[in-house]
Amino acid sequence: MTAMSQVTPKIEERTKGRLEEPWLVVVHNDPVNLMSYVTMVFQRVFGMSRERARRHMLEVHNKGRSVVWSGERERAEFYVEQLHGYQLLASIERTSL
Amino acid sequence: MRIEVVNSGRTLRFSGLDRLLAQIVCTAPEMARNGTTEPRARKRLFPEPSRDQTINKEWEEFIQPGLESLFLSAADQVASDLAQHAVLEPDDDGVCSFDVPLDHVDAWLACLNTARLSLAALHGFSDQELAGSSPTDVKSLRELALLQIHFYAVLQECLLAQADPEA
Repeated sequence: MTAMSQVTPKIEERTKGRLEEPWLVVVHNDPVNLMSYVTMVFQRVFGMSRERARRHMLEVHNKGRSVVWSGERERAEFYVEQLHGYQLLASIERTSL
Repeated sequence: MRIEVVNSGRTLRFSGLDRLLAQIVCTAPEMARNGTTEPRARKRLFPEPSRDQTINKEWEEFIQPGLESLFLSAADQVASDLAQHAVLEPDDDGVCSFDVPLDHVDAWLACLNTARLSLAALHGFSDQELAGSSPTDVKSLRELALLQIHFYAVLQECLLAQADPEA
């Protein structure tokens, strides 16, 4: 066997790639928007059933905020734009591990 | 005074308004437009979407103008509808009326909402004032604004009920 230079494969240290963390769409309470209006907006923007839209609306009302969607950033920004178009207070946030 | 809403299949007719409420309806487009120019109202109508200032800067440049245009075009639609379909002088029964074309309900909802948010921001009403009942005896501009906010809410509820009867 021919002596072969032993080549130690260069092991690249890979940073364990984090999976792309989802972004959150959060709706915040405000005292002006009507509950019926907010429910309608959730149904229209996210295609939620009335029951689910109402649950999120009540969460906003009672707890001050509700996470209504999570996923990739571009889509999250699209949804926040839609919600702002209906004048809901909405923001896009990173999830924190 | 009892306000009636009748769906004709093409329009919603609101009737039974006294002159003051009819005038309040007519000011909705102006209140909405004011909101897009007055700084306190603008802060509410165009909130920052993020804690990330890079995102906010891009939002202000690329998204906000479209939102502003949306709110203004809703106000313009309502103003046009009122110019065409409102009876603002009391009739023989002493009441006024106006029509909302059914295919303009979304514009009306948007305009009324913009007006309410703008008025609330301009006058700095507390949560208690907004949740309370409408003033019955208007003696100041502030009380008038609160009456506007409450009455626009009544109109919004009527429009929402027509748009989704099961709501």
